[in-house]
Amino acid sequence: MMRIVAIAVVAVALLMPGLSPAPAKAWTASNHRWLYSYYVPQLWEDGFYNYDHNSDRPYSSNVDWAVTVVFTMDADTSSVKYRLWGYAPWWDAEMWNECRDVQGVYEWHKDRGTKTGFWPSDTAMHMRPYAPHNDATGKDQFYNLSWVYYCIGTTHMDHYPFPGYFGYSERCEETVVEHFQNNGYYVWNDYYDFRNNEPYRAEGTHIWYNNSMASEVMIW
Amino acid sequence: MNKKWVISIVVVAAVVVGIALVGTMQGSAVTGQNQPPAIKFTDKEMGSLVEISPVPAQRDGVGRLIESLGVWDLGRLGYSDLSVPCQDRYGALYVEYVLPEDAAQGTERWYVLDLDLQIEFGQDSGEGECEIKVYANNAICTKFNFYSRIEDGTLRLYHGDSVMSSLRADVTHSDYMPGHHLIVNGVQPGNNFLTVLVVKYGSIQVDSLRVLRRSSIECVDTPRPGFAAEVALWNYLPKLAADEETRARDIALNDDMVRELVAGREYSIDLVCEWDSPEVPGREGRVDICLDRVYQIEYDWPWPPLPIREDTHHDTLWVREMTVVVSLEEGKVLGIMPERHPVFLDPADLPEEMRPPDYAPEPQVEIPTLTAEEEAMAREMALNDSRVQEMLAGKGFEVAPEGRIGVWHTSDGLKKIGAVLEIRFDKACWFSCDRLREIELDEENVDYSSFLDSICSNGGLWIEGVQVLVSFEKGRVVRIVPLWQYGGEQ
Repeated sequence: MMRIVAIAVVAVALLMPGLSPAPAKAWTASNHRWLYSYYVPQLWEDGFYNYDHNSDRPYSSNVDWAVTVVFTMDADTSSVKYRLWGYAPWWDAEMWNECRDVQGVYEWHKDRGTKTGFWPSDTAMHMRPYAPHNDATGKDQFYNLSWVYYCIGTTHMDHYPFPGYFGYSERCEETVVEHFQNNGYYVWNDYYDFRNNEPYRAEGTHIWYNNSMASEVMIW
Repeated sequence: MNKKWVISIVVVAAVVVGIALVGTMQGSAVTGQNQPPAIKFTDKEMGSLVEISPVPAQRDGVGRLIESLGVWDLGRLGYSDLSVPCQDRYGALYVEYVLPEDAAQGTERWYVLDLDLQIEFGQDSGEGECEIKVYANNAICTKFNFYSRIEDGTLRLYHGDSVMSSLRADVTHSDYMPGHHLIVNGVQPGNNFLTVLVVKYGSIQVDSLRVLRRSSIECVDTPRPGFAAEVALWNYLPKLAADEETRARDIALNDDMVRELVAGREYSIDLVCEWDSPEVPGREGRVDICLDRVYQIEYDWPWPPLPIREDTHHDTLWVREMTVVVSLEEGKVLGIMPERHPVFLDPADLPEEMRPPDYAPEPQVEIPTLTAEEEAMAREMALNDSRVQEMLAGKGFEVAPEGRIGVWHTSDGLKKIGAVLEIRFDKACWFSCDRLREIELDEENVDYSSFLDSICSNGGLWIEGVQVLVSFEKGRVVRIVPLWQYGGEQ
């Protein structure tokens, strides 16, 4: 019986326009680059792109959103989603970012992220965390001497009705930081320059808006 | 006075002095502190923040100074094999060591942690997780995760991703990396603490957790293999002209904040180069000031640099180096960032002859922008649109707050379509759904009427402003996006 219900739910969802997991469109970044300790001293031997991508092709014309937040100390992608808004629904597209934790070892991580609303009714906040897999802890998390166990995140807002607009990374970053601050975590707002400044512009329905300074949230 | 009275007075006095001493020690700065601060962590099962005060490990004598290069194992630091309390849900134990006055991670010396742990799980364990977290001072430094699963009726234990062959696991850092360099906060002059915390979730049982005597902190003058810089960076940093370099140095050293930070301290300038941030207009320089040793400095740190920064950030930090960002045009310091770490290079920043043979630079894209005339035209078209006027009527508003006006372009070929701008109300305004239905918000894409039907159970929405898209080809506004207040319907 459960199986029949599950099949019916999936079938209905797939038939509903705007809810089926269609291939996501790629967008174009103004300041796409590989970030490493030259740009952000606290990265030590680590690295990642300052935007996430639509697939495992790291080009500025294949991006989704800017990396705006770093979760440090004892963070992994799963626990950050759990602490924020829960897991994003399956119809939200996975995006990709390439991460280097150990020198010379590069790994693509993909994630649907965490989201405030599961139904396209108004405005949802959406954050996607990224980190390579750590075999020793069994979790997805970077490690270095400054941020210890950490992951990075891109932020944006989904504004419906579909296809309304998506974007305003900066505003969503503020909401993420506020959420953690209100729940007893230490935050450093707009602290690290991730070099992904995006002046206000519309690329189709993609509204770019980001000040390039990423915030830090310390996870205990 | 009889003997009993004398003894009572002495005991009370001793207790009072003892309490006073403990109070003094707890309130003291990190240096000289003789017990670590409470460890803070999240209990994942309870979903709550927990603070626990670790107990000291038994030691012979006082804390030992790690005064020279070499391996300093627990034995050399006055300890033998240690047992971490693990009967309760949480248990924590700490060891103490002393570092010299100039101690800092990765400046002249590197401190490498090599832990040897032995953990034994109970045969009657159910499903659960055991986290062993190691803290250097009060910051997490490394951790080991174990999971117990019942698979086909059999208990199976995992260490990270690997299946364990027995109930016992011997864990060393060398299993994962050639050297586990201590985190930055884990190396400070004076007393330092290494705390081992065990946390149990679910029905996992831990019979014993031992930190073996051969666990060590090694002091070395070069980082371990795998951590060495790929290439010395300094030769390739963007240069300033000679006169600009002098000017950058002068601006930094004559700044009141910098003078205050270096007052009474020996220092050297170990780098002057260009600073390039897309956020900061004009030409800037970067001046790195290296103090003679690590200092604990309480300061209102002016970072990030202007114009991002609104306020300074007050903090007490261990600082050896500072990066000072200066505006060459305005002749002033824009920001001061404490602490700088060794730099690693990416092929993109290397001279051509040093890049790997398969290196291919990313193709450059050019995103269109608005001219001043186009921007003015877009503002005019937006404010002259009757639908926009209807939405703005009677309200206070700002056009393009914080520079929110820009180009509207296609994704394919990056062709300019027109402009996008935001008009924000002074405060969120209530719009009835009937009124919104009457306005043609989008002539091309979005069917707002059915959307409004689905969300307007209260008959209206709070709106913070509108986002307006202007087509240059059509010469008019083609889309108005009401900016619902985050959280939607109120």
